[in-house]
Parts: sequence; C-alpha cells; structure tokens
Amino acid sequence: MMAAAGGGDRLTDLPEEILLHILSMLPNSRQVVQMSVLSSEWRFLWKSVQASLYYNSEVYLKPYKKENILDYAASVNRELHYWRFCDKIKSFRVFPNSYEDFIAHDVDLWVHFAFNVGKVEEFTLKFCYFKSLGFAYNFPEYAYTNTVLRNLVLGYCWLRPSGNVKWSNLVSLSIGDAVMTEGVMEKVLSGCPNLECLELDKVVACKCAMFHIIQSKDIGSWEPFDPGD
Amino acid sequence: MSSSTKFLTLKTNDKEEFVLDEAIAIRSQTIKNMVEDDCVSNVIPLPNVDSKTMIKVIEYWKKHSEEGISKDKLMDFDKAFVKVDQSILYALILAANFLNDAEMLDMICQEVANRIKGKTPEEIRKEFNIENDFTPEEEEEIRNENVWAFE
Repeated sequence: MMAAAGGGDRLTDLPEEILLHILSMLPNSRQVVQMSVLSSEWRFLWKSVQASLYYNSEVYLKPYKKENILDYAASVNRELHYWRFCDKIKSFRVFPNSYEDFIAHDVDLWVHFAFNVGKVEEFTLKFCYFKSLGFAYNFPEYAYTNTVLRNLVLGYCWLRPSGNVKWSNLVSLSIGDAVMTEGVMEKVLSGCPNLECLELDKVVACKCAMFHIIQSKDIGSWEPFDPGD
Repeated sequence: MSSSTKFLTLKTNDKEEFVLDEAIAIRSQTIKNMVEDDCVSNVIPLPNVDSKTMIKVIEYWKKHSEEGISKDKLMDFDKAFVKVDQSILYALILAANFLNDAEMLDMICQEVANRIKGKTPEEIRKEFNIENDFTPEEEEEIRNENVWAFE
C-alpha cells in the first residue's frame, strides 16, 4: 500500500484530543469539514472540533442590495445548520450590514444559535450602522441568561433587559454604538461577576448623567456622553 | 550561579540521562507537579520520550528561559525550531503532551495546522501520507453530505 512507503501515516496516529486541537487552529471552518474525506478515521472528527465560525460580510455587501444581504444571511444559516451538533463552538462572528425587516428572522436565528444551541464561547454581532435610530436589533430576553459565553461583542444593538442579566461566565464585553436606557448598564454589570474587560465605544445614554458606575475588578472608567448636545 | 540552584536528572526511554536546572525543567507541568509533591528522588524517568526528542525539548526550554531575550529573537528561534521533518514534529507533540508544556504544544500544533492550511484533501493526503480507505462512491457520498464545505 502507498501509505506504508514514507514512514506511514503518523498524523492520524496522534491522540484524538491533539488532532482536534490542530483542527481548531485552522482559520477556515470549511476546511475543517473537508478533512472528513481524508480517510475513515477523519470522517466524523470535525464534529468535535471547537470551530471558529467567522462570516465576513464584505464580499456580500458590496454593492448594498437587498439580494446581497439575503445571500449573506443564507450562507451563514446554511453553515450553522451543519455546525449545530458540535460539542462546542470557539467563536461565532457575524457582521450584517444594518438591521432590516427582511433579515430579522435570520438575526434571531444567529442569536438563538449563539445563546441556546451552539455552546458558543465568543459571539460577535456587529451591524455596520443603524438604518434609523428607532429601528435596531433588540436583544431578546432569553439571551440575558447564559453560562457559557466568555466574550461578547455587540455593535449597533439595543440592550433593554426587562429582567435580570446573568452572564456568569462572561470575561470580556464590548459594546459599540448603542443607546442605553437608565439602569441598563448597572443591570448588565451586576450580572457579570467575572467580567475583567469592558469596552464601550460611542454608547449613548437616553437620559444623561445618570450612570452610577458599579465597580468590578479591573474595569476602567467610562464616560457616557451627553446625547443632548 | 547561586548555591540554591537545584538540578534534576531526567532519564529518557533509551536510558540517556540529562542533568537540568530545576528552574528550567519545571517548564514541564508534569515535572513541576512531581517536584511540588516531593516525589522526586534522584532520577525522573520519562518513559514516553526518547533522547533525540529530549535534546530538542531542552533546546527549546533553554532558549525560552533566557533572561532578557527579545520577543523577535524568540519568534525567529521558534520559526527555525519547527522547520523539521514531520516525524520530529510528531515526536515533539507527544513529548510536549506528556510533559504537559502547553506553550510548546500549541506552537507545534500550530505548525502542523499551517502545513494543512489552504490545501485540498488530495494535497493533505499526499503531504501527510494518509491512505484513502474510501471507495470513490463512499467519498462522493461524504462530499455530498457536506457539499457546502466543498464549494
């Protein structure tokens, strides 16, 4: 047999946990799946890999057209469909253009995947802009409770938890371009006992100067700016 | 060297002995645990590591323990360190795994990942000597199952 020639197939002989570690380092999640055709030993390995799912939208969103946005959403959905049975997802990152009626269902699905299905450790949901200030993605109530997530990055989303926030495993939180109502930041911070890094970029308060900073370890100061001026 | 420097003797599975500064040897979590649990007598046996591999491991440990060495220099060292035959990479992976040195393990696994990255399944089989034990029909079926990944 051919494989015997050059010293045999020593890669496949490595312990499974190491093969999974190597596969998790491949930047392209599709290539991880392609490994399934190598040989019977590789066939199902990909399902146990802690994959990084990164969906760059640049190629889809130029030019900005409804069909392109829908194409992007469809391509993300299709891949998630295949990754939904994985033990754990290292990271899941989506960058839709703006929140629109016609992708509302898709965004719901991604958040559902990140918070309920995929055991995702890192989730990025970054829209590129608000279509209008009155119409942004409003984080669903169920997403305020999660014990797996370690890093969360949000851009152009609304956070309006009506109940408590419980992100018990969250270490790093980054919020960009958001409008927050009174008390939300306190709620969020008090629900993240393990938070070490908080990043706020252009976060606007609905009423100004009502922030009481809740002290958590290593959290630097942050300054709300007055939307009135 | 101060008088407090302690040395450990590591014995590989081909009966070679390596005398090493304890401060360097405890880069291995396995050895560190043994030292901390006080179960180190004279010689620490390493039943899963051969001398040829151990020489490479020690070379890595020493370089990474050098005081004041710049990040750039370490990066150059690492780059050259992993430019070896696959068989040596595998031996290093198994050694790093047994010795429980996560930093070294990550670096070498990353090198293997780099050698896989961007290649087609056919190229990977060739590069790593993986025997395709599927019939053409079976392979076609697997590709069809996950057709999205092969587009």
